[in-house]
Amino acid sequence: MTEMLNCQKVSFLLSQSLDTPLPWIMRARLGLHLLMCRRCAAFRRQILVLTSVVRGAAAALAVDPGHDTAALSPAARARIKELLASQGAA
Amino acid sequence: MKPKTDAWVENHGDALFAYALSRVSDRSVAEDLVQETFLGALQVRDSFEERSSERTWLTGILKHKILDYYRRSHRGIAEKTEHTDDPDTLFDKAGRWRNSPENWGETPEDLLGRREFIDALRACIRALPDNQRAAFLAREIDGFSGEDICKKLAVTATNLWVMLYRARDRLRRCLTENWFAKLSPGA
Repeated sequence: MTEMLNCQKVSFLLSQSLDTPLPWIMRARLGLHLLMCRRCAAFRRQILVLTSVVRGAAAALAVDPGHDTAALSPAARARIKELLASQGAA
Repeated sequence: MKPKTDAWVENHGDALFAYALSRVSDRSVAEDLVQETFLGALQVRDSFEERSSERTWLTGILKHKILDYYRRSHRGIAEKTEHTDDPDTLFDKAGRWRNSPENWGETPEDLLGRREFIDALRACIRALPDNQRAAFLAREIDGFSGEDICKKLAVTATNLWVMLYRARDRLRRCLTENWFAKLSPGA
């Protein structure tokens, strides 16, 4: 007899299923739980929307508008150029 | 084909710096990461293939450097279990939801069209604990596999799944509170 899945376990498995394939028997048990549980179904929709918006906004999220001057400082720029020149010539 | 290294800093330095800064929020760390990226790229420049853009290739190297930084700078990046603000407190003793997740009622397409939503999302991501943010962004934006993240961060698969679960749960609650609840009538 397998242990009954509760909502806490289901929410974890729903997240885990985004990162690794679950065994078919587990997918079947999850599917059954989701048919009966509106709360877990809503959690699942939320994390799917979350994944989708984060991926969709990837380019915008890669720039931090809190830093207006997202440019290398002159000192860092000079240092890196120098290092590249010395190591590149080696 | 070998890339032309002379122009790297001028052509890509600021873009790589902006990318690094969006992840580590510390200018000197971000500068060091850019430096490591360029020097790392120099070592493997023979692997550069013309069909990919130089920027994409360098950004790929930077993504690895960012994860290396998190492993180095956060001793024991593995998830701790004693946080009070974690999903365990959302359930009663029988493992049932105390409060139901809401129906957000908006599609990803609707949301992505609103700049204010992207700002709210960015703020919620920034509020994540460092280890959860590093794992989550590596997975969802940088496209690392779970296996790669485990190797890079030196954590077990189970630990990574817990980190990602907690990150997703915090983010969905943060967005519910800071975006969706403010949109609902009467809020």
